[in-house]
Amino acid sequence: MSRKHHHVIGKDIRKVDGRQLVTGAPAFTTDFPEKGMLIGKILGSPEAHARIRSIDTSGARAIPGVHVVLTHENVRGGAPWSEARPDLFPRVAYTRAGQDYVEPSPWDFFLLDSKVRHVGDRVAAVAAESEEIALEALSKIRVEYETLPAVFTPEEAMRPGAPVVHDEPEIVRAEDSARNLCASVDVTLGDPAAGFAEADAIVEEVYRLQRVQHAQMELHAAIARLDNEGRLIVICTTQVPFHTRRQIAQALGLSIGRVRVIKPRIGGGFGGKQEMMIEDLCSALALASGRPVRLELSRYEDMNAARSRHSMAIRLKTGAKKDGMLTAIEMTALVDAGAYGSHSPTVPTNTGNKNLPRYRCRNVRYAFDAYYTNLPPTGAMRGYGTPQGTFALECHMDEVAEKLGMDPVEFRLKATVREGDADELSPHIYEVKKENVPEDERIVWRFNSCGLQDCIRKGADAIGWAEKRRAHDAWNAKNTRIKRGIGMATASQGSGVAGIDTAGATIKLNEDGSVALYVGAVDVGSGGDTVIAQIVAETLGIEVADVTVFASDTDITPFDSGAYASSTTYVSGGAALRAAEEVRAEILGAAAEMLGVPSGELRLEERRIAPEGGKGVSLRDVATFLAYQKKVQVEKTVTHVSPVSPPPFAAQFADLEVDVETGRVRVVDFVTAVDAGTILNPNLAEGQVHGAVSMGIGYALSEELLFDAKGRPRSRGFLDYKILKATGMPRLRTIFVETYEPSGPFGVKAVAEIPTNGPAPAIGNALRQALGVRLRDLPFTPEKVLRAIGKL
Amino acid sequence: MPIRSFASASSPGEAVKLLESSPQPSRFIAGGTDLLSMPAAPASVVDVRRPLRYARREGDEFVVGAGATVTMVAEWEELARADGGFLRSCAHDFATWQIRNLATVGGNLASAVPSADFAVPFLVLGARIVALGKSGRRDIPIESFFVGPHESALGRDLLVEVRFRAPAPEAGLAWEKIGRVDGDIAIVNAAALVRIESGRCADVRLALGAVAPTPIRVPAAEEFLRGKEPSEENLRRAGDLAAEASRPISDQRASAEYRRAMCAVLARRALARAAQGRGK
Amino acid sequence: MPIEIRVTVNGEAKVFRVMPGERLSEVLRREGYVSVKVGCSTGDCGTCTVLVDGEPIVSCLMLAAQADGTEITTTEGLAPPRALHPLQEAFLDEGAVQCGFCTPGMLLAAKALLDRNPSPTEAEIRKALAGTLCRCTGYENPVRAVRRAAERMREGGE
Repeated sequence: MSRKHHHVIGKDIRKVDGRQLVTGAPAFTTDFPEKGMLIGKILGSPEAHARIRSIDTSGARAIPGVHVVLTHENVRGGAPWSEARPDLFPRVAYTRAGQDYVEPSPWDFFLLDSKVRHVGDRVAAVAAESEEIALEALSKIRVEYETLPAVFTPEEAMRPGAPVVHDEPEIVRAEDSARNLCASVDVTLGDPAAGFAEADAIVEEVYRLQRVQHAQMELHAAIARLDNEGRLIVICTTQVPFHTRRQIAQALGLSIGRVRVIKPRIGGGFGGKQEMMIEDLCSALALASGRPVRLELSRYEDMNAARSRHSMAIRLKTGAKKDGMLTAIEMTALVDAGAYGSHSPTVPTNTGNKNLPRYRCRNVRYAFDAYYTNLPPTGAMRGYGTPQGTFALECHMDEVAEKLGMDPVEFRLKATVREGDADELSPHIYEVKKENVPEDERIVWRFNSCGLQDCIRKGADAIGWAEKRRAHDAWNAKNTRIKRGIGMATASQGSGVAGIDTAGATIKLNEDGSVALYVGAVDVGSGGDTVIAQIVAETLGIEVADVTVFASDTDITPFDSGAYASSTTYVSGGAALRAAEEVRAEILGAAAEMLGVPSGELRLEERRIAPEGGKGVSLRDVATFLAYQKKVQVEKTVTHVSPVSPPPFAAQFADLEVDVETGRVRVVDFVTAVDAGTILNPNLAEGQVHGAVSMGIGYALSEELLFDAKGRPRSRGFLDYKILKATGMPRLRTIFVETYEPSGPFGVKAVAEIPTNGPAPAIGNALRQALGVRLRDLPFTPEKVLRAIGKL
Repeated sequence: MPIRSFASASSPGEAVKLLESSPQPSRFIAGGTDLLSMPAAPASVVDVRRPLRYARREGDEFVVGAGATVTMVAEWEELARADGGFLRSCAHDFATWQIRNLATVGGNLASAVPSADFAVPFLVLGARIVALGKSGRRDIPIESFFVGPHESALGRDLLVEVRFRAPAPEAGLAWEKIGRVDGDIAIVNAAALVRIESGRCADVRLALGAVAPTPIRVPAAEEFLRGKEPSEENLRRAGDLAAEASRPISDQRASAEYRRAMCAVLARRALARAAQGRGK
Repeated sequence: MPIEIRVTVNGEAKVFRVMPGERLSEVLRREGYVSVKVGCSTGDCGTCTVLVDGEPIVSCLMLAAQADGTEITTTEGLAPPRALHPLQEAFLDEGAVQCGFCTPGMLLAAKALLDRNPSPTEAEIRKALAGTLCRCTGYENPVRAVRRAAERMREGGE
């Protein structure tokens, strides 16, 4: 299919939810208080690893205004929840990670447990008439802890005889919980040993990445209530309403049909809300009290008792020929899963499989081990394991290029994949364990759309690569206080999870040609609803304003896996496209009848259906005809799964300065050249790039969650955890290298995650030029910079 | 436990009385940016903004009411003309605009945190603090004001105002701060005054914050530089003396080692700029 | 013991009954001004920004009792009903709104800036927005939107 003129595709259409957001109208979860609503609060553990010997809630329950206090003593037996005993819940192991059923995650979590596994882990929950009373109740709960020895790094966790984080008998699907091993993968293609043997040069290094956090502006919140028929209604900050519904039902022993989860506007998720973070507990408080309950995390809890990005130590070994051809790559990652498994079986698969396939190499090994520790659980975060691997691999490839005496850009042009190349690695370390991929199917994926070479060239051009490399070397030779450097990185990601991410769309035609679009898709602020509406509007020859989007209510909209894996435009948009095509076929069929012309000769554009150069009929007339004369309700539902996950590609470039007296790094100019397939809405797509780059720069320079020797958080909030401010951003430039991906609606792939991947390695590579030394540990704080150059 | 009682004073004297008569523990509140971001709350607060929100010239003294906001200092034209923008540069580096419109100079000093941004400029200006308590008004020279981390010489007294004379026009002034990002709490802050006579440093004052239990002057560096040319070598030595005088701690913002190193850098930079004259 | 405070909110005279320890942010939300967000409660994120007597402040760090006698502007009051302020239009046109959670705070800070300085430089815009954290936009399109709105306001006479 060629790129033809589009009416709304490729245009800067205003967001369909924009007006409510700029006027501050009630739109987010906590903007909808319920009458008689109680306030819920969680008592978090002060200990990193302990058994609860005793817990006395009598003092808390005696306070006037306290309605419910729940502890592990309310979670026992196997019986499902019933109104007869509203404060009793079954003890079942489950996961809170929002993924398709059966989740790859271990079921290693309980609603409330008699063991705590990280500081801030759930000890008790309270629902009271006001926040003040709830907090007072928490302070009156008396807990006796039996402190257990704890482990705070994967290295500590894997030592023989280390304390076992998960010794409960109910645990399911951890790789080897007795050894604290949560998940592990080891895949080899070809013969790396032979590859290393024939290499002219070998580079082997270790790269380390810290824990960072989503720091989305809207805190996790949920309001749960019972409706008049006793159904549980939950409005919450979720990226995964359908998974959350299922998991609430599983955790509390309810039938799925008795639970409704509604997603309102969401104030940012970035993967932190790809988790049933508090909805299970909020629902339990509502069921136990019979009243609506609002549970909202504080910023401290959101930062330290929710989720964060996996910290990793990644070892890379690469063999190369003098001319730049890679003969073998070996990548192994040691991963911190934190106290609960969550996304640990799948995030680290991306570390390898969304990085290694970008390079042409026949002999590749990727392995990871993710260990349980007594730190807060890690989880999904924008990029989903890919940024860690990109940092390691792209710094490493610069080191390989250096060893070969090749310019980094020239090296990437030689070594990376092109359109038509096969990707043999991905299917074997995909986001599920390799056993889940049928052994007899030798799956070969191809890069059917790949603009990476163009991205590299255009990005290098835009930032002035060659001249700046030379100019900065000259500058550094003469200047002692400020040093300069320019560096680059390539990146890739995915578009949805192949064969797994499921999206549903229903379109109802109104009798004037406007439509109602029901999607399970979850717009967490990125503009997903808008671009899906654009896809529908384009297909039906109408304006975006003619499309009313109803999103993500488990009672009303079709199923959707949720907003993760950069799936919304590609997968959810794919469902909407197919549904729109079915509606279009009905419209054309009716118009054919009305005009006496075969439908194949009719065009649908700008609300008119007509044969080429002929007189036609208005869309309104056709829709009215269908509704009132044919008595046909045109309503089409499509469920869509893509068997592939075509990668977007990017090349990102950082130009920076370092004050070598203070160690402060300042990125001056940053270019992102990205192939995301067709760009449906340039403003929104650019917005994704800007936000992702800002997150990536924070990852590189200033963000880090800190803990003390007892596993207690030291990052209390934004005062300690430094994300970028408006004054800290460099000049940003975005270049869209548009390819056409045949499997995506109108040729799209994805853009939401990929730009997060390149900034850290681009900065690391630029620092190599600026400082003359190589830093391999994130973040590049001023102290690390000064130590690296021997000034501290 | 949240705050149970709120009173607004119409005069400094009334504020002192209200502090005693309110349910205990009671605290003065102005901008609230420190008090309200702490985990533990007092039982009652006495709002002192009304009587203390002023910034004016009285004869040859500048008088900053304790309730004057950081923004008021930042926008005070007469002061900026008199000190070459010295206090303005400190005010502009302070947190964010939303905080600057609330936070007060008095609150910043009374917090007595070692990193208090306004401490070092006032140390260098030789300011005096006017306090009011049960036993009446008293002057506290800024050198005696900071007693320990979070402890000032105020006790339960009200910080009424800060008074200082503009330094002689020939004296250069400079403010420096380093945080992890712009507008951050200081990892180290520094202020310097240098008056040059016949090419040599006749008057030198240097203050550092966030590197000792209180904000400090650095007599060793001052004495070293006095009478010498402000050459690169001398400035470097003065910076090193400043680092030697510091007793920094390690916290989640920075290590003691880094702070010590930054003492030398910021002290040298502040002295160098001050040695070039006003408004550099 | 509740205190009565008299304030003007978006031009309307109001009397609120507040507890001594309540923050202005909580009270405004309770009274229906839900554009005032709560993102941290320590004054660091700026999503609770409101204008008090024309100055942007973080309302989570002001006791409601301290607001007695003041004029407060929230985003609900940026424009008359059914109309949009040039800043709101510009934010929509420039793709400066993603999740929208920081948008009310940014709009008010931007309005306060343009009230004082109708032709701000990029550096001045960034400094004025530095008190509102955003995790979605990288600040790029919001800065562009403020510049665009300033242009339109200078041309159109707003």
